[in-house]
Amino acid sequence: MLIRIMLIICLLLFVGSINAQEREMIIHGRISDAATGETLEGAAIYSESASKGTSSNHKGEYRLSLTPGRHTVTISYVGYTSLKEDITVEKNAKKDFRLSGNVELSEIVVTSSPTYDKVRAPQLGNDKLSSLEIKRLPAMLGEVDVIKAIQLLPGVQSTSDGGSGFSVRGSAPDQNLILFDNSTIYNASHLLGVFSVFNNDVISGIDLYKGDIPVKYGGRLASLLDIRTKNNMPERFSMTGGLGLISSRLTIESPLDSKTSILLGGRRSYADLFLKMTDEYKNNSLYFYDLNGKIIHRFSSKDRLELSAYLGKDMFKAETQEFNYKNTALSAIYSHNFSSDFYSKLSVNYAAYDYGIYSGMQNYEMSLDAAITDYSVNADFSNYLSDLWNINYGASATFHRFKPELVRQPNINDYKVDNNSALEYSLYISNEQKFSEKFTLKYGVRFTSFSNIGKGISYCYDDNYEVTDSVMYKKGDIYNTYYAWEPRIAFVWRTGKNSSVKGSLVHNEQFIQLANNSAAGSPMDIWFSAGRNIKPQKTDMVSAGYFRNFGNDMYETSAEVYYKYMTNVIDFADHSNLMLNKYLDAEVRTGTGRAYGLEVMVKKTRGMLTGFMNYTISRSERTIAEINNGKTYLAPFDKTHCFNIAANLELTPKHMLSATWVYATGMPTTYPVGRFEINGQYFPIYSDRNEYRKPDYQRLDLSYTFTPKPDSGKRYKGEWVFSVFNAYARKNPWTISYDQKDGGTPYAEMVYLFGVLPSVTYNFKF
Amino acid sequence: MKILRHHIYILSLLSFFISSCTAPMDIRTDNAGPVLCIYGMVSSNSEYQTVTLSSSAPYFDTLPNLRVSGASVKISDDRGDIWYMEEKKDEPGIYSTYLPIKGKPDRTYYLEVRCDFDEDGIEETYTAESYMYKSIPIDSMRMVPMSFFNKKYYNALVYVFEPPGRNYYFYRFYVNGFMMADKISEYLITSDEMFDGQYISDISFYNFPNISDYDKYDEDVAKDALFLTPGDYVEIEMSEITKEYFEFISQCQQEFNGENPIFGGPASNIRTNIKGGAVGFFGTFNGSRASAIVPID
Repeated sequence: MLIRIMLIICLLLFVGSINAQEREMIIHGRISDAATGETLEGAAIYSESASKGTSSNHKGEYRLSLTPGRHTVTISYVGYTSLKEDITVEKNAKKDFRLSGNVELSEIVVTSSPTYDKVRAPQLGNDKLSSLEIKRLPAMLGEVDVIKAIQLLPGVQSTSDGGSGFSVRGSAPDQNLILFDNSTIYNASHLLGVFSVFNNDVISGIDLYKGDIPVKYGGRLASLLDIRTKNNMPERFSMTGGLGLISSRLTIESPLDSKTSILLGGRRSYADLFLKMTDEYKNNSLYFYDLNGKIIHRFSSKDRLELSAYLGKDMFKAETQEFNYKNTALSAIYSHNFSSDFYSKLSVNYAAYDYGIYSGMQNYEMSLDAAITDYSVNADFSNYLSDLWNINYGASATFHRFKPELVRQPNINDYKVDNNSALEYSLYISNEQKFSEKFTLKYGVRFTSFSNIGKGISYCYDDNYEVTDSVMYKKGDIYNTYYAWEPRIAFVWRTGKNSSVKGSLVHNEQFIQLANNSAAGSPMDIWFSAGRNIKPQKTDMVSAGYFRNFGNDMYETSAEVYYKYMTNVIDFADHSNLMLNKYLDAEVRTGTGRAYGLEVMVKKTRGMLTGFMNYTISRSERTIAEINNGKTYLAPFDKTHCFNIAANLELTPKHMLSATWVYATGMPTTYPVGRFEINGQYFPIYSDRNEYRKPDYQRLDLSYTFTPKPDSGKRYKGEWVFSVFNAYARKNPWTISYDQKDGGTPYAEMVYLFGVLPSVTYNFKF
Repeated sequence: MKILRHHIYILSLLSFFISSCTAPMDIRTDNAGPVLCIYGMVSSNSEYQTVTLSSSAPYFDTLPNLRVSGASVKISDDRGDIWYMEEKKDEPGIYSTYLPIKGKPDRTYYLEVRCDFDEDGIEETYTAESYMYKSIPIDSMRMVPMSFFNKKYYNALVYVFEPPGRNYYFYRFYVNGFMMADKISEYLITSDEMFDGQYISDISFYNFPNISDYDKYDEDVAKDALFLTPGDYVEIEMSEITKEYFEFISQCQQEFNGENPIFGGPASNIRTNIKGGAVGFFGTFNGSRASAIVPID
């Protein structure tokens, strides 16, 4: 019902907005670094006289509509000297600006959007972090990590200590869409979750949308994490790199000719090189690597082609046993500007995740392979007609190929969990209407059709989840289709020059999910799709927030509340077997869920001390008929209170101190409340699902960055980063296990992963 | 045939990479009220068939669980045989047949326990049933030496035709007549999912450590392991069991040590086949055997 009402509202708004307005001219252009020519994302351009402003997009382009006449515009960007310029507006015109970098902050490549944008944009639950902000946070073992940084944002919880899984506003980790240059990353972790797959050196920045996802994207309930590699046109060859305890990195950027540039980045761990030196482990391998490549070619000022590739792999090998997993993401994006008001983008993407287990051990020979592959085509258009008609629309088609486990063993037949495929088509349209300087409305709808397509097999189950029948489908047969309308609407009402109230209402649907019911997850968890037995998961979320900046945008504060209701939400039967299971659908149990919370954030953007502090109070619960006897239980990621601090203190350009501190209520857990005995062994009788909580989580991380010659005129610049992870050696339980001496009393033990972990990293750039 | 588990084991190699440690923990919970635990087995071996009754206790209680005396316990089958079980004088709570007796294949066994466990003056009745399968003829077994990670082992290779349809197996080994793995947490079980309806050959059912490596093991590990010496007489006993019994053993093994954050699901109660509000299990098994002598490597 809610969806229908939202659709009607959107339609009315669309029609109703054909409205007369004072004629304004559009000034547009590119904001770039005066020295390198790198385009600047999120640079602010503001007209005092019109009290209007905007910020540049990821290509450094801005667009500002102004009434004809003289205007003084200010262009500003963190780490650069602000520029004031008088312009005369007569007709639509193009105007580029170049900013000069500050000496002490010259290393900044990109930073977050200007602060007032956060107040002004009709967007809730959106956090941005720049590559530099991420880099400044103390990192575990010196490995700068995008996902660890995300876990410090309000409303985002890590799902296990030190892991790369994250839960957004009480949702499951597989309800986050992770895009890396527009390609889906299905498993964002290295080393079973210890590090994430994103090499911070090649990244320009990230955007996290906590529910109010732009209609252009869909397919996940909880969030979109949009990670982009650097997108600028470097004016000269440069090299960035680092040596750490775990891995080393090297990234080069260079123009190839006046129209073409290239970015190549690599990172590899080298623990196995040390292993080879020991007798005991000389036949073992243990490594991960990431390779990124990107070529940008500008045919003209209007046409541009980007080719990007990512390949990341983990390898664990011990004598004849091997386990590996890898992500591949390829994309080609062609963008064309028909005019200064009309952009288009055509992209083709390939994303794959696969893993394999191999054994050459005598009489245990086997191989196991599994994969998921996506092929997709997208067309996006952005048409700016007036303040009332700023329309984005487009379409996409994705072919998903699921290849669950295939096991081969000598002497017996292969064991194969049936492959299946799905075809997903989407259309979207959205409009951002600025009714007045005070009120802007953004609304749109996304329509998706998701079809299961042969070759495939569909099983029928009875009420006890026993297979009663199966139907085989030929290649190309469409045997089940779901349609989804996903309306999303948001407004911003500016209550003052530096403050605003916002609200949003969104509906999201999800068609594919991860077969995982463990706390930390594993690389062997497989993705499976909705189908005859499993309906798409759905979420409706309403959120509202108050945003206010202080001290000439030096302090950025916000408070957001949300309430979401989920239907067809998935959990798995007690003792379910999710691996090597042809009848996985029979392990799925569905019900409803709800989550609500308040997120308060304070961010200081300038000065000697920068950083942020946030507090989240939230609750997330599930009600599923066949789990916990139908009683409502807490979602595994429910943490009532969560408090994060991230601070950077730049004492001098030479010395910088950084610290993060995290406090969170312990995760819900099920404890044994009784025991029964068989043959001298005790077995647990449990409490209700997630009735208790683990001890509270706390962690302090520190780092000190020493830049020997910050003012040196030389191109080569180096810095040392010394960091300590978990500085006061808090023992945070990763898991709780039970043991009993023969016939003796059971006792509990917590397993914790990290003591104090010091590390040192050397970074360089020239 | 814990093939997968074996491979997962290599992942635990990571543990030397991550400095994981343990610390004792004090868990305080409300205690659940006592429930009756019934554990009864009927085997095809000629032995005293027994049913044990005990009371549950708080999980971290330092005293052993109490046995439950004075119940009337009866096992019957679908052909009309009835065994009235007698509580052992010297072991209260253990109810046994009068004489050693064999369970017979292709019969359904019924357990009935009557006792006033909740002490309200009215006797409650607990019932369960389990089907005893016919035995699986094993062709042969072979003990084959192998080495892995600088340690020597003997593989137990079993040659057997696995019948079509979903089947579940429980198997155990005897070395020189001594039964190994007599605790549920150590039971060896498998379903036939991976090799349904095929002839099984040259697949190792178990790895026994070689006695010559004894010194390479930690004392704790060595204490629980069964080392083989050339000339040892090894016997396998393989039984087809019900799905319920298979799941019971598997769940007991999953829950015995608490959660596994990477490969395990959330903690869940172990299911029982006993009706009437008790925990535990009533099961049957009918083993067939094959044997081999450990060769000189």
